[in-house]
Amino acid sequence: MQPIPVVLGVIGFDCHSVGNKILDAFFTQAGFKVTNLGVMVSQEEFISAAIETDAKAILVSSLYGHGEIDCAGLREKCIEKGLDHIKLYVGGNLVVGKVPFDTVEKKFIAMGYDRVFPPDVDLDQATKLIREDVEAAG
Amino acid sequence: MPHANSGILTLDIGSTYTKGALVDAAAHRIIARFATPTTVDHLPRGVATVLHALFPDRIPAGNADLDGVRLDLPAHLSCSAKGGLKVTAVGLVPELTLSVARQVVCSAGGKISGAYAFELTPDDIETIRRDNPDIILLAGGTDGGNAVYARKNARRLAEASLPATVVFAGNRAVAPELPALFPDGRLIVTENVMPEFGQLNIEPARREIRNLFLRRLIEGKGLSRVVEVFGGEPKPTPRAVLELVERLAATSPEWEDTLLIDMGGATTDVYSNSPAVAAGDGVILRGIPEPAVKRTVEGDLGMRVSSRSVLASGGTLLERLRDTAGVAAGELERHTALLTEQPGRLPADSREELLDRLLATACVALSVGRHAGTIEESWTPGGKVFLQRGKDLRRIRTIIGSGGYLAATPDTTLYRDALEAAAAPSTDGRLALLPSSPRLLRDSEGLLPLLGNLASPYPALASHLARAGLTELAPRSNHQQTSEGA
Repeated sequence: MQPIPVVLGVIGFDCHSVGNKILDAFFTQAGFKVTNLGVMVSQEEFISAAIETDAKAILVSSLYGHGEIDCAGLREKCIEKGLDHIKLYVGGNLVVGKVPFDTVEKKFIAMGYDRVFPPDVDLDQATKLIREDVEAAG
Repeated sequence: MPHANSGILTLDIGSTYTKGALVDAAAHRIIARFATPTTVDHLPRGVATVLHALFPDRIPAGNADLDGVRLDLPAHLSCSAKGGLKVTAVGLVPELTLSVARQVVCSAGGKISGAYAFELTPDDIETIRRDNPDIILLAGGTDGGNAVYARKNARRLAEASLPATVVFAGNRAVAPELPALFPDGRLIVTENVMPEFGQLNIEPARREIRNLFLRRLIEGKGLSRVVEVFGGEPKPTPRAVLELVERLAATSPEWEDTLLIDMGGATTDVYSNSPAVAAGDGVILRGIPEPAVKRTVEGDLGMRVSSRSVLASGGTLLERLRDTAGVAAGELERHTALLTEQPGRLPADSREELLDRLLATACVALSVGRHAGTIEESWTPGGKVFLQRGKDLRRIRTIIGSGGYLAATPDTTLYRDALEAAAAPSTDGRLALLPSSPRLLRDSEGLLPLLGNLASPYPALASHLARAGLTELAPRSNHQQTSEGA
C-alpha cells in the first residue's frame, strides 16, 4: 500500500514539541508519509508544504489555547491556493476553559476542518478515520 | 623557462578583461601577471596577448589563433565572456522549490534571467522567449509529491520549442514522460533539487548546468581553441570565485567565515562560507535551510549600467544614506543618468566621488542585506523564542571587497556605513543577521578569479597567494570604534 502523504505541525506561536514528535513517529509507523514542520508553523507554511509534497491531508495541532484564532481561515486559504480537496484535521487543547467538546468540534467543523480530535483521542482510531476519509476521497 | 617544474598558469576570460598569471607553486608566489581587454569577437586573440606577455620568449606576439601553441605546464581556465550563462528558474512554491532552484543557478555560476512559480502562463512563456535564456531549470514537487505542475510546465515549455535546454530537476515521477516531449533532445533529466521536503540536493542540477555552460560557451567565439590549448575544461568565473571562498576555509582558520562582495558595473555578487544557522537556545528556523557556501547575484545593483535601478531598489535605506551624505534625490538621479550613458566614466571631481561612494555604500548594504537572513523575537506562552529566516551572517569575520570600486577603495567606513544601514530594523520588527566588525580585505590586484581557478586543485597555494595578495584595509581608529554603551 502506497503511504499517504500528510503534513503535520503545531500551528501559530505554540512551541509544544513533545506531542508533535509522538504524532510524527506514530503516523509514520501507521504507514503515512509524514512531512513534519515542527512547532510554530504558520498557515502559509502548512499550505506550501502540502502543495510541494502533494499531501492528502494537513494535520494541525494546537495546545496552548489560541487554536481558534490560529486555525480560522486555513480552509479558505487552501482553496485560494488550489488545494480544493485536501482534508484538514485539527486536534489538541483547542480552546481555553471548560468548553464541552461537542461545542469545540462544531466550531472547528464550521471553519472547514473535516474532523476535530480531543486531547485524549485514541490515535489508532484517528488513523483509521483519516485513512478512510482519504481513500473515500480518492 | 626557469620555473618549468613548479609553474602553474591561471587565466580568466572575463566579460571586460582577460587576465592571466604565472604562479610559482613551490615558492608560493606570482611570477608574472597580465591583463588585456577581452576580445569578445574572437577570444583567443586576447588570450594570445596575455600568453605572450607571460611567456615572451616562447609565445610570439600576434598569434591570434594560438596556432601551434603548446603549454607544458598545468593550466587552469575560467570564463565569463558573453556575460555568463543565462538561466531561467521554474519551481512550484516560491519559498520552496523555486528558492532552491535559484540557489542551484547561483552556485553554478549562472545568471538568473527569470524566476517563475506555480503554473507557467502563455505570457510567461512569451517572456521567457524574449529573455532567451541558455538554460531553463525546471523544478517542482518533492519525489512522490506534486507532479501536476512540473508535468504541465514541462509540456508548456516543450510546446513552445524554445532554443534553451531544459534541465529537469523536479519530482522524479514526471521524469520518464519527458523524453517524448522533447524529441529534439534539448532536455537533461537530473535528480530532484528537493527530493524530500526541506532537504536540499543542489549538486546534481548544479553539475548539469556547469556541463551545459561548457558545451554552449565553447561553441563559437573561438573558445574551443583556448580550451584545447589549456587541456582542461573552463569554469564559469563566478563558480571559480565560489570555490575559492569554499576551499580557503579548509586551509586556515583565518579564512573561515568569509564573505566576499564582487561589485561591478552591472551586478553585485555576494559569496559566503559560514554555517547558516548558529546553534542557540530558542532559535527556531523557518523555511528551508540555507547552504554554508552560498552565492547571490543582484542584477539590479551595480555602479554603472545598473546604477539607475539602485535608485528604484534603494527604498528608505537609500534615502537615509542620501540624507547622511547630504545629497538630494535629484542630484543622485542626474548622476546615475550620466553613468548609464557613460558606463566608463570615472569621477571628475570630489562631488562625483561622493556620489559614487553613496552608490557603492547602497549596493553593499542592499546586496549583503539580501544575502543575509533575519531574526525576529517572539513571545509565546512558553517564553521567548527567536524565529530565524535565511542565513545567519553574524559569524562572518572577514569581508573581501572586489570589483572596480571595492578593489580600489581603502575606505573602511564605507562598510561600516553600509552594514549600519542594512541593520536598521524593518517595519515588521525583523533584524538582519549581519556581520559586525569584520576584518576587511580588498582585492587590490584583481586576483580573485585567478586564485579561484587554483582553489580546488591547489588550496594551500591559493591560500598563500590570497594572504599575500589581498590588501587589508586600515583598521578603524579607536576614536571611531567607540560606541555609546551598546
